[in-house]
Amino acid sequence: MKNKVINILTEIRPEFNFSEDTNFIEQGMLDSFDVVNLVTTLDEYFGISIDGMDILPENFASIDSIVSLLIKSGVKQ
Amino acid sequence: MIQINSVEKIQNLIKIVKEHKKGYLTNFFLDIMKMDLWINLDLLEFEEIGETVFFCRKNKGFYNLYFTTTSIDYFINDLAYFMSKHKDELYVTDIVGKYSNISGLKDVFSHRGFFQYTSLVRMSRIINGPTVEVSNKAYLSFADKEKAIDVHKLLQNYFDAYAEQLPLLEEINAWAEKNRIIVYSDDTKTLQGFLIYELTGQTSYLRYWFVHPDNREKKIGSTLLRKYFADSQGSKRQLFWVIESNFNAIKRYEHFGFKRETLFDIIMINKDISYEE
Repeated sequence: MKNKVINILTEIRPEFNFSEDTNFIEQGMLDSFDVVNLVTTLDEYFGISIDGMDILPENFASIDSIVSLLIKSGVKQ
Repeated sequence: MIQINSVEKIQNLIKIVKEHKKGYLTNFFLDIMKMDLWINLDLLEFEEIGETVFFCRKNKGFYNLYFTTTSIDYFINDLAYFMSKHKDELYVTDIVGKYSNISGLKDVFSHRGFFQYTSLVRMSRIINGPTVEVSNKAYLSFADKEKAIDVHKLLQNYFDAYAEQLPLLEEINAWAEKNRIIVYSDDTKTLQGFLIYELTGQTSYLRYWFVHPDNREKKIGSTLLRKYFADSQGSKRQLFWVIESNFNAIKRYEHFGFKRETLFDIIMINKDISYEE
């Protein structure tokens, strides 16, 4: 699942390295438009609907936080 | 329309749309700091219609219209009903995305009495070059509170409120506190130009760049831009939005290594008027 998330992020922002252990939001690697784009892509790819209350920058700040969100949204590991 | 009194309320409204599990289509990109400011100043309202939440930000003589909906199929009817209820108000909406993704939305708005006012394209560059030399440093400084007020006035007087989403004075003061407003003042001490940018980690976003009409052709614009480049050395990507039809500006930016992205912002208004350069 982690690798798929990295691939999706790299498609959205190919100029950044999402394998790095860093905060994607604080580092400006994802902006608010990218977060919406990411939510739509994750919903479609994994067949889920991420809860509106979870669409907050901190939930998309790292690979681990995104994976946690996916599991919370019903994606099986 | 109902006043929004917290960011949590916005999230709850988005939650309701997502619970339909029929998709997620929006032009409301959550910027928490900006939302907090709008909420504190009682500028943000909402209305739920069908599977859409409409968010309206009060502006000077008009509203900025945002929406969160499930899909175009539902949005067509929800927008029709919304506009039938509010036909006497002036609405400006931004449709943001790749052109192939947003042309359908543009058609929906066109059929509901909206006209394309203008469109913007995002340009960006990846930085890996040497340090930029800055000339006329003596005339450059960061805006203090007093200069911030002057910047605010110039934005109000010279920028297009429909196309530019002009910042509030509170936002300008916040930028000034972080030394993100570069100003150019010569020996007369009058403010002749400014540049505002945001720096978030690896991304630097040029928000506004202006030279007073009385001071054009004096290389003030390029001096400000070079100072911006120098201050953004730590970032990897620089970006900004430019009016798509401003070919001269685009050419100048391309000279500095910027390239057009595939991201567009189509600005539509429910009135037949066009942007004038």
